Amino acid sequence: MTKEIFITQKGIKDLLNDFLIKENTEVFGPVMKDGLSYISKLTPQTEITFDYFITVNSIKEALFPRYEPILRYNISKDNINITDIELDKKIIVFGGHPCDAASIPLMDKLFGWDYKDRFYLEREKNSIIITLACEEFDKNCFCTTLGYSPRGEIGSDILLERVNDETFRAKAVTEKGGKFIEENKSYFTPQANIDKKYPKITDKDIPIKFNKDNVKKWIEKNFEDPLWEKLTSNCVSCAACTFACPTCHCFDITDDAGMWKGIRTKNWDACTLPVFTLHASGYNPREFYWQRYRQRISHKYSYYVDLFSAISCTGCGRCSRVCGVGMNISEILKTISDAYTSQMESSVPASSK
Amino acid sequence: MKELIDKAKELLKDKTVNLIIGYEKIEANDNKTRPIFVWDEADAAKLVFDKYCVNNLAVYLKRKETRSAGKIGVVAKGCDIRSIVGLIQENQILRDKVYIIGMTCNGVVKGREPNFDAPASKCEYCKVHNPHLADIIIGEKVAEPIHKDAKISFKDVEEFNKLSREEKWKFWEEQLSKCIKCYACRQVCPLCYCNRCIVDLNVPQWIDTRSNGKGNFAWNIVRAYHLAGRCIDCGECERVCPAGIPLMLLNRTLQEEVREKFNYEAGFDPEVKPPLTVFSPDDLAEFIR
Repeated sequence: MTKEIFITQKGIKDLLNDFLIKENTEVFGPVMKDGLSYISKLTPQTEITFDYFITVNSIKEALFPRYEPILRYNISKDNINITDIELDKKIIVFGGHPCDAASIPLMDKLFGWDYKDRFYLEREKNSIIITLACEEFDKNCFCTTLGYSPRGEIGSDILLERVNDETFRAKAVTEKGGKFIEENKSYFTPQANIDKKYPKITDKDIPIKFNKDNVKKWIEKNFEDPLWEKLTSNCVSCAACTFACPTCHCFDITDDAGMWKGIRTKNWDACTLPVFTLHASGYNPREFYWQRYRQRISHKYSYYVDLFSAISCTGCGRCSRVCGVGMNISEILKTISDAYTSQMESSVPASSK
Repeated sequence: MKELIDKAKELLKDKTVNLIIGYEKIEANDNKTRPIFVWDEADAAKLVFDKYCVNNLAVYLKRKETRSAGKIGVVAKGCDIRSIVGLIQENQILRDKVYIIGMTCNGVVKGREPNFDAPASKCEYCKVHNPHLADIIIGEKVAEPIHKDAKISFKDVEEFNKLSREEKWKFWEEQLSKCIKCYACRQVCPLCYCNRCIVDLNVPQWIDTRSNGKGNFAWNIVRAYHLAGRCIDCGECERVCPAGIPLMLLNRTLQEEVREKFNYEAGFDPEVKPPLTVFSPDDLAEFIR
């Protein structure tokens, strides 16, 4: 049996602080801002918090920044000089939950698909994902419905599980994680008091909300169904849900250009925004709010499955938490999965009932 | 509540309206509400109204899909009606296409974490606890602590104005750096109805779309300016902002400017022309030298 290893909250703070002052390193962690917690890029002035349930945003920000330079250019009389962006920074991401980390293998599929997106892939390669197993959940959580777990290891390099009010058990999930613990052993401790009140939650606490396979089956057959419009009538078509989402990955490329030089950047974009599919002609194939919301759900629960054999959702519930008009994704998916069940029931011939 | 439901049923039954936009409880044992679109009498039973009905439903009136529904009923508090007045003044909706179910209101909650249940800041300055423009008013008449013509000044703006220019800059630099450009503020605002918002005009790209310092300043300041003399202080942009930016401080600063320069408060009388849409020889012109 491998020996257990622990780390205290102070140990984590010291470790992150020491990495912060190292050159070529970016450290991300949970920070309290006006009463809400966010995964933020840390500076020596920021204090991380342990007193939070789930951050408003996800750890996506660390590997897929909301804006990112992809090249710089200079135009001179005779030629154009292009400078590539160096991507050798070490990245430490602390404080996501298993639903954050589970998004990484899902994003890998997309960014490592036909075109290899070096910006995401190299950042990911250089990163250490340190995840906190959940000790709380709310009614928006539905990770178990999608086969994930509040104590899951998927996507993490190191999983921390609370054993007492001050201390976590550290579990190296990947080789990279094991090496990281080994190299930074001084911050860890071999012993800790195990408080029986932890873990406070397990898989069984988070109810299964809907049948995920039925959702796909319904989507495949009901593209034009009026249920879409009914389900989404209060959507105001902002991008809060997609930007809070750990697996939404659409981006737009624009130039921040002067006359003779500029930076080309990759910015987050969202299918829920009206301009997303607007053609140059003025025609918009997704003109209405419900067509855009249908895209968001269908992409996650049907098209992504066709392409990569995985649902592009981890059940974190962030989109429901940030929604200003009270839309709840698991409620919508339950309605869809129930609609499939009732379609099936009504299509069974009476004689076979 | 019964009065509201009965009225809604009646309006749908006799085809006065084809659709009613109101509030429903998200869950039976929870206080939180959300907008609901009621197309038939059966759904009318879901309608509620209480201090948790925070959304400004006027936002849905700007949507072309909603407008194509014909005549629409909308459940509205006094503050929401001020937005409707703005939409009428700016020719976005026709008065006779909207049936306003005005609700008397004793104030609503903030409706956002942390302190979800705290009273909303806007209610402290409210002059329209009793709806000022409606087809029917539901609820008992409530006290109106501030007279319509009283001059109010926002405490947060007053506090903010005590800061030095450098401190103000630092404050906004920090706050606006949080902006992720999700445009929830724009989408939830009843008066942000441009067919194509200036940030969506990309040939050329007028406004930097990056959510970094410069891009965020450009976006938030453009939006605040476009709402000067139009914002009615409903506070929806601030409530839905996932980044927690105090957007109302920006909007209120401009509300005060307009009040001072033009003696105008938005959203009271649909017959009045908003100051920034008309020219009058009497306008202050002291900036022209």
